[in-house]
Amino acid sequence: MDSCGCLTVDEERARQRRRRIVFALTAAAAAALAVFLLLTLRRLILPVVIGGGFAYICKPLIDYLRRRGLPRPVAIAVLFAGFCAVLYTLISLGAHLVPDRKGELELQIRARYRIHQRYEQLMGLANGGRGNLLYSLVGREVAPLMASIDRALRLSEEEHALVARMYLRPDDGGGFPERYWRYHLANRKRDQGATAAVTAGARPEEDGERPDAHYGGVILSLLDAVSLWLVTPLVFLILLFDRGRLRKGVVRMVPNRYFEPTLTVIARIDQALGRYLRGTALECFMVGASLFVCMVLVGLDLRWSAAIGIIAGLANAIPFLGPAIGLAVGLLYAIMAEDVSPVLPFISGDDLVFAVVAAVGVVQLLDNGLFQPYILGSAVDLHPLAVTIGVMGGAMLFGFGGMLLAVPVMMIFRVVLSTLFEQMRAYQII
Amino acid sequence: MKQTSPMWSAIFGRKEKERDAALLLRQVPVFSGLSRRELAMLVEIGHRRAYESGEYIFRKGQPGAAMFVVNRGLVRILDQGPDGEVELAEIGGQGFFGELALLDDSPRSASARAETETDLYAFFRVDLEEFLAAFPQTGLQVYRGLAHVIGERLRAMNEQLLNP
Repeated sequence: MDSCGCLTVDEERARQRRRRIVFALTAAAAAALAVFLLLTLRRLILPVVIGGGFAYICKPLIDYLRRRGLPRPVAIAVLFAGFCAVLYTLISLGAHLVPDRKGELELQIRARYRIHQRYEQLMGLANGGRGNLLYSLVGREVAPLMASIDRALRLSEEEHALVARMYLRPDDGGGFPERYWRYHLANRKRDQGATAAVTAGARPEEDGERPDAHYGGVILSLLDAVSLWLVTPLVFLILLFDRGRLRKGVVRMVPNRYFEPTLTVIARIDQALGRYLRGTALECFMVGASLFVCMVLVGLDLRWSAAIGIIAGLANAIPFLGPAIGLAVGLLYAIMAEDVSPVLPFISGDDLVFAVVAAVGVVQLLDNGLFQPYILGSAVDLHPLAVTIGVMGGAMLFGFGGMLLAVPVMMIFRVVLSTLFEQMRAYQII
Repeated sequence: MKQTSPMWSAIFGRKEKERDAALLLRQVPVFSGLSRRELAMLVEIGHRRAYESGEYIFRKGQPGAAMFVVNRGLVRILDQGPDGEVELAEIGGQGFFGELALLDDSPRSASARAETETDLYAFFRVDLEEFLAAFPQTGLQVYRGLAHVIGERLRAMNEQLLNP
């Protein structure tokens, strides 16, 4: 150090070297910590990202409300109230659709009975038929699938006893509809073969668990899921109140030399991610709404049409798998549907399955031909092979969350890589 | 002087810094027409940067992405002359530079170097564009202020050329 207290050239060089070492070590420690947290808290990733995604989607709405003269807290309160109202509607719709123990048994019995009935109709096996052309072509291949569905839906002896008790002693178990009891007996008959002695009048055993005994485990797992997802609205609110401080905090850590390139990279990511998230949200909404309308036209009741529309709309965020999920849910309902009243005159209850397939097909056509090109545009400019591998890789690494986040994460990587090198060249860093 | 706890100083200290920043921006001709609320919103998108003496803020030819307001310290605007760097201007507290970056990302026409330890407020073009799109009335005032400043500088340059 010289007389003025300034560092000499050598001291300055040593200081620069120390600074680089400290920065490198800090960056390495931060990266290691990030990886550790990512792996340890992986269950939190999806709720946090969804909360953040909603905040991101809602940012233009907040700006709009602020432009209208509302202070930020009031704008956020209005938005949060809307968010809660939507969530409440979804939960109450879901609560109506999620069956209790009795409903679960009814659904299982009904599904098994209906699947067999549809299968026999389709294959020409109904009323003692010996099978049609389709049966001779694919009957042998489909048989193992039917057997596994059968195994999955078959009631255990305890469940059978419970159903019997509910049917025979309505005051104790809450009753059991006559129609489903008949289905159950038909299913049992199928289990025991044609020679079984089960008849509509047979008295079954009456022991077994109480209908409400099943709820302990369900409530515990629900509480676990709910506590995990409580973080979503918290993240949503925190990010809306954040006023860009999070990003400023990140930028503050960047050395002056990289300040402007960093801001440019962040802006490009922001632009690409914003376009993708807002576009996808609108596209999912359009797909869900179209499917809802189609399902109503086909003859499904309003509640189930709404549920299928919501599930298919949400699932649409996952490339390739989304439409399959929508189709599967629609088909499942179509197979089990009891009383159908189609709006379109040429659809009957018997060809509901085909009508549902056609409806999903129409919605997919609309999605590919109209919604994606006009709403999403070129927001997802990734090769289909990259998307396929990314989605599968995401599923293998992080399950459902990985599938959902694969495309946005790939997009961020692509934008970061392309912009970073471009900016580093422009700012003569490399 | 009364000592405040770290928690309260973290909460109110930030408010104070934001208020100081708003006061600083009010002195800048580009932002002088804005109301207190608009200035507070503008502070939200600003970045505080600290530069050491002799450190370059940007160099000639680099893409312009941000405009800078000097909070404390001294900045020299330099260009390369035949005999080395030539000083074009000296900008102290409440002054600003790099404003052309708010219009497009064309390369910087000169370099900027901190002459002493300098604190700056930086406004990134994209942030400002988003802010101005969200609040068009404010945007109109900012761009009017910017046009006024650029016009004055152009007039001064013309005079320098005509009366060297």
